[in-house]
Formats: sequence, C-alpha cells, structure tokens
Amino acid sequence: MHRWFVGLLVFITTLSLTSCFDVVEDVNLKSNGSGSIKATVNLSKSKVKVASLMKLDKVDGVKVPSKSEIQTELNDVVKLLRQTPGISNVQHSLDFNNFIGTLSCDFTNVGALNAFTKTLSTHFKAKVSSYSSYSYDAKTKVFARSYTYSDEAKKGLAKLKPENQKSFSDAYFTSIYRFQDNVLKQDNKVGKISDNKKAVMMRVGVLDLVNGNVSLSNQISLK
Amino acid sequence: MYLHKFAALALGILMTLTSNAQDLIRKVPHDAKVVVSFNNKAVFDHLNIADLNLTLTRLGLFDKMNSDSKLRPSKIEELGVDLKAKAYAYVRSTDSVQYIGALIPLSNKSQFESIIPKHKKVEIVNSLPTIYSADRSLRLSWDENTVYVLGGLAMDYYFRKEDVINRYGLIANAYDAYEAEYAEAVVDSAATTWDAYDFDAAADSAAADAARAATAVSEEEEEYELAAPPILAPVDTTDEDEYAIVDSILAQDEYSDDYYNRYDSITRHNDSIKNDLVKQWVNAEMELMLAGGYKSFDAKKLPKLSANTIAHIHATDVFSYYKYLYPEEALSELFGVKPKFDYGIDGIDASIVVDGNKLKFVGSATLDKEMASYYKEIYNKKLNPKFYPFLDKDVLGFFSFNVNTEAYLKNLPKIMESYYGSFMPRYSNMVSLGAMLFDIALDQKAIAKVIKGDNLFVLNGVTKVDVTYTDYEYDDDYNYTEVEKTKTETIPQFLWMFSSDDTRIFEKIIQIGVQENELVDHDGIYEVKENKGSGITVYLLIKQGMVFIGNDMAKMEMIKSNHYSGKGHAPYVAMAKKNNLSLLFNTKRIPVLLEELDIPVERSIEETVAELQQYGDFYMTSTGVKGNKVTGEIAVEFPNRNGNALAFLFDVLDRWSLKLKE
Repeated sequence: MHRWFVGLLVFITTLSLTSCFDVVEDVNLKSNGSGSIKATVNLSKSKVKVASLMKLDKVDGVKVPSKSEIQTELNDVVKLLRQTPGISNVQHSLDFNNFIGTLSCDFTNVGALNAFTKTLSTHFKAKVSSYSSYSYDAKTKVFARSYTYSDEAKKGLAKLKPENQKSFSDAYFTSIYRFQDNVLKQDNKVGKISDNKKAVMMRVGVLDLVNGNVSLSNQISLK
Repeated sequence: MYLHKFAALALGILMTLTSNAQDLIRKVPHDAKVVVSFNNKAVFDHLNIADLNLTLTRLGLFDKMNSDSKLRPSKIEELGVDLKAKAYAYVRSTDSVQYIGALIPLSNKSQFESIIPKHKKVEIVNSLPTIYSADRSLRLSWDENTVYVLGGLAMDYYFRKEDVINRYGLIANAYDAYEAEYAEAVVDSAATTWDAYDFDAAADSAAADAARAATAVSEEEEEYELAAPPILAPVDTTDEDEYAIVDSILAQDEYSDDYYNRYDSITRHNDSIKNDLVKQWVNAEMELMLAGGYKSFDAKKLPKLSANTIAHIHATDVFSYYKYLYPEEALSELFGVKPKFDYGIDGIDASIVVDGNKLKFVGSATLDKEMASYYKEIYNKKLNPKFYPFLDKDVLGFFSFNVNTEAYLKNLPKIMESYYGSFMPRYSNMVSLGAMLFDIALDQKAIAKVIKGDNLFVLNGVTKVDVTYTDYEYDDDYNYTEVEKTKTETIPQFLWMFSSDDTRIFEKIIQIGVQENELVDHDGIYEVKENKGSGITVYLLIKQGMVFIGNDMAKMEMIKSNHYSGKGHAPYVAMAKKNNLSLLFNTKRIPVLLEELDIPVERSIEETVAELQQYGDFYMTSTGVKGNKVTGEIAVEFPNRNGNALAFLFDVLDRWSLKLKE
C-alpha cells in the first residue's frame, strides 16, 4: 500500500504544484491478525491548483494524467487487490470535485497486504528502493511496520527553491493503527498512543518524510 | 563535434546574411515565388562587430576555418563577404524541380576563396570557379563580386508520372517490381529449405500459405503491393523456446534482408537517375541565370528596406506552389476532387524589424479584390470606448477582437461558397445551398444587435477567493471525522466584456437560469453556480448595453454601481483602439504572478523566470484590411541592456557560448 503513496508523493513533488495534501492510512487490526485498511488521498486543499493542472497535458515535461487515466489506474489497482489471496471487501471511491480518493479492504493477515504491495510494485514497474511492510505476531502480540527511506522524492524537491519547498509544509502523512487489545508501547518518536490505549497515530509532515527526517517504522507491543 | 556543426551553420547564415548585392536582385528570376532579402548593413549596424567576432571565435568558427585555410581569417570581416550590401535567397518552382538559390555579394574574392575547405575540388564551370555538394545537387560558383548558390529538389509527384518514368528509365514501383521475383523465391524456399528444418507441420502449412500468396500475387498483381511473407502455422512450442524458433527461421537465407536489399537497390536506381537529372538541371538553370537568360525579378515588388529592417520575405502566388507539391491529378486520385487552391490570397510579405529593444515581425497578406471587400466589411468594427478604462497598466494581458457581426454573417456564406466550394466541387452545390439557407435563416441585423462583435478579454492580476476543502478532525481515541473548512486561495482574475444593443436574449437566459437554480441573483449580478470544485466562480452582469463576465465579485459590484475607477493605460488603449485584433502579454509580471499564485519554480528555470521581469510586453496586432492588404505585427520587447534587440539576442548567444566553453 505504501508504494502507492510514495509513487503519489513523487508525482506530486515532481509536479511541484500541489503543495497541500493529506494522505491517511488507517489500519484496524484484530487480535487474530486479520483486519481492515483504508487509504485516503485528499488533495482538496489544493483543488484549485489541481483543477488547473488537470487541464494541462504536461507540466515541466511530466505528463499530467487525465481523469480517465487516473480512474483506469485505480481500477487496475482494485483489480489486483481483489485478486490477492487473503484480501476481500475491496472498496474505492474517486471524487474529482474535491480530489479525494479512497481505497479500502479487509485482510485475513497483514502478509496479504505485503503481497499486494509487491504485486503493485511489479505492476507499475516501480523501483523498489523504498519498501514498506507490516508484520504481526499473534503470539507475542507485536505489530510492526517497517519502512525504508527513499530519496526519490527528495531529489524532486531539491529542484525547487527553498521558499517554494516551504509550501509543502501543509502536506501531511497520517498513519493510524487501531487494535482490539491495549497498546503497551510503541517505539516511533512521533507516534502517540490514544487515550483509550487502543490506537497509535503518527502524523508527519511530508517535508520531513521526504527529507528523511522522520521514519514511519514502528514496533507496537500489545497487551 | 556539436560546436563544429554550429560553427558551420553560423557560417552558412552569415554567408547568406553578408553580401554586397547592389544589383543582385536583377539576377533573381522574374518568376521566383519566394524572395528573401537580407539587409546585411542593418544587421551589422545593430551589432558590435568586435563582440560578434569574440563570440564566433569562442564558438570555434574561425578555428575550424583556420585548420585548412591559407589566409587564416580571424574576423568576420575577413571572410570576403560584403557586410554592407543586401543578399538574396529565392525559390523558383517548376513541375519537376524546385530550385533554391542564394546570391551573396563579395567584397574580396581571394578572402572568400581562402575559406573554401582544401578538400573541396574547385572546378571551372561556365567559366566560374565552382564547388558542389557531395551529391552535386547543390552548386556554388563565384565571380569577383558575387557567390551564386543553387540547389535543386526533385518534385516527387513528377517522377511518378508514367511518361516521365518511361522517358528516364525509372522503375515504376519498387514494390511492384519486386513482387514477381519475391513470389517465386517464396515458393522455392517453401519447397526446399523449409523441409530441412525439423518442424514439418509448420513448414508445410507455411509453404501452403506462401504458395497461395504467390499465386494470388501473380494473378492479381495490380491489387497487391507486396507478397505477404509466409504465415507461420501454430507451432507447438511447449518444450521449445519460442524465440529460438523465430530466430532460426529468420536465420534462413530466404528470410534474410533480401527483399529490403532489392527494394533498396531499386530506390537507389531511381534516386541516382533523379539526382543526375537534378544535377544537370541545376547546372543548366545556373548557366541560364548567369547568362541573363531570365527576365529579372521586378524589384518594385519588394519594399525598400529601412535601416532597421534586417530581413524581408516576399511570397507571391502562394497557392500556385501547391500545384506542384500536390498536383490536381494527385489529389483527384486520392480524394476524387480537383480543388483549386485559391483562398483569395495573392501574396504574403513579412519583415523582421529591430525597433530599439523590440524585435518585430511585420507581415501582410495581399488579398484578391473579392476577398478584400469581404474582409473590409467584416473588420469594420471598433472596440466600444467604454471598455478602455479596463485596460489598466497593471493588466497581465488582454485580448481584443472586433468584427462586424452583421458583415461577418452576411459575408461568411459568400466566402464559403467562393473559396471552400472550390475545394469540394462535388459538393459545391451543397455549399451554395447551405450558404443560401444560412443567409435566409439568419437575421444578420438582429444578431448583430445582440452581439455587436467587439470583444475585450482582460486578464488582471490575481484575486483572492474563499474555497472550501475537506479536512479531518481527530478525537482523543484517534477516530476522525471529515469537516469542511474554508481557505483563501489566490486565482488569476479575468473579465470578458462585449457590447450588445439588444440584451433581451441574455436577460431571458438569466431569467431561466435563476428559475432553474443555475444562477444566483446578487442584486443584478448573477453568479453561475460552481459545482466542479475549481474554486472559480463566474459572475455575469449586464449594464448599459454591455455584457460583463468575470470572476471577481468586487469588481462586478464596482462596475454595477459606477464606482469602477480604473484608468486605461494610454499605449494599451491606443493599441486596442487602432487594431481589430490585439493580444498583449505583460511579460514582466510573470515572476510576480508566479509568486502570488504560489507556483513553485524549479531552480533550473529560476534565472530565466527572474529575467522575464526585465522584458517588456509581448504583443500581436492586426489592423484589419487596408487597401487590399490585411496586416499584422508580432513584437517582443527584450530587456534594454544591450542597446537593441538584436544585440540582446547575440548577447544571449554569447553567454550560451561561454557556458558551452565551460
């Protein structure tokens, strides 16, 4: 799932026009390792720019996908997701008025999500320089998310003037992991445990993520 | 390598640009369709020769020459060409060949001869020293005062005519010619070599297909351009590598590049005959020109070049040229129609003028009498003076286009009938009928009242608008809810206006719009309901015979309450007033605009964008029809730091050459 976001980040950064956006990853994990995930990409804060951008064919030599191309790509992703063993209840939406896209599914175990990520990387021929995966050990009750930093987006960002880079300060990546069991501890420095101890949230600025100042890796121990 | 190519190109341009052509126009044949005059004096008066030499030296132009030159020129003045006289280039077309010639004045023959590369063989042809291009389709001869350049391009269609093919021994069609041989070869190959390979089923099937193809070809030669290669029957490749099989088939002799070799040799045969002919024709044409065998081009057809005009192009009888490129018979074969290429344009003239730091392209098209009268009526319309105050000095750009709606509607059917009907003779009656119905059906006067034909579109700076967006709010347990928030966004502001003496139709549309809930009435200013999420809301206002459409509510309110206090910028007003079409872009405002719109600029183009601030306006204008000419002008105002536009452009080249050197 994360590859999709990185791809999107690279695309957005390269276009360097859509400086405000939110990416939310919301995972709901049951004790037996099954659960659901919902990914949301919200560009509505930049909808005026995105709407203008979509009218163009190319920006700085980078092709701007049309609505139908985005729809086709998402359909491909959904198709792949549906074919992935252990994945069910795949749902998606695309709102071209507010530029919000969502994709959600249920999984029997987090390994299915990893399999899907790999399929997606192959399908889009994405360079797997950054790799994100989940793991959950029902016995030890440890949920982990591993994340390797990729400098692809940073290279794109470096092409911009510093004052322009600042415009990305209003772009965020949010990860929320919810559990049936209480969280004992989590080891990401920006991660926070909810009041009811059932969730961990990491909200990081895209600039920090792109520059490698923060990591999305986390190991969460449950009670 | 690249540098040398550039140096050669620069030399070519300079040689064309630099020459003493006091009377060289006399050497241009009277029937040249295109004549380009280069005013060398004007070019070099606008440039600092010392700087120019420095740039050219840095670009390696003289090094290249020095490598095999006796006199070793190190300055542009030492190339032997006259930098103070005019040079000419021209195009003369016949049905069989298109000649492209140039006449370059010389100031010093010996100097010029010194730059001829040593490896070039100088021959004496028509008593003149002469060199040829490798394929001899380009000839360059010179005397004491002039370099004569002439090249020829064979007209493809001419060499496809049957009588021409027979006359010169060309091969009619490379594909046709190969068919018979190829078909035979395929049969042979199928019968013999294929069996040697160990997949009989495939081979048999392929052989059968090939034989069928061969038979079909021999029987229906004129219908087939080329015998299809044998089709491979499905081969069971489960145990074998498919690619290996394909490779092994391709490795067989009959699958070699034989066909292409043969095709290539036919093409070469034809090309060599054509080249021979072109070579002979070029020689004959130059001989005729040198001997004064052609009447001179009428110099009166060319304007006197001012001290600031660096080049001029004159094209006459423009569409007759198409006769050769796309002869009627060819089009008739293809489309079943014989169009007459006549759009009422007799000729085209254009000049490049250096006007201080402005570089202008000034052009005109000479219309035939009929077309001129139509367009004169159509362009008989001026912009409503009430729009002038909107041409503020800070506008980002504007576009004004004025036509007389009544004349346009009245003349359009005639234009269609006269000029476009001819292109489709089969349908000319239909076009006439359509034109007549158009004429009857439309009440031109009534329409002209509704839309008078004057238009002004102004792109003002930016305006701030409130835009809603979706955000998320999280509770203590990180459950989130979607919330709608509002932010202020900066968007470009536009205003489009046109005159209307009869606004009833717009009022009716507004009435329906409001009823259908598509328009919101803000006390006489109508908001077009925006549901596409673009954040750009459009407003409509009708006031005193003027219709305003824009996206800035505040401005609309000011217009409505007569509080709009804008003042027209005199040069912009003059431009809009004088011209039927004017488009202007205030280039220097781009960097500010990019900043205001928060559009990030990549470092690589940062310098270029910043430099735009020093540019003046870019504009395009047309005064409509004057006499029988429709005229237009395009101008770019460069930064005023090198004295004039040409010097600025050379400075850009110079800086580029410095970078190249680094």
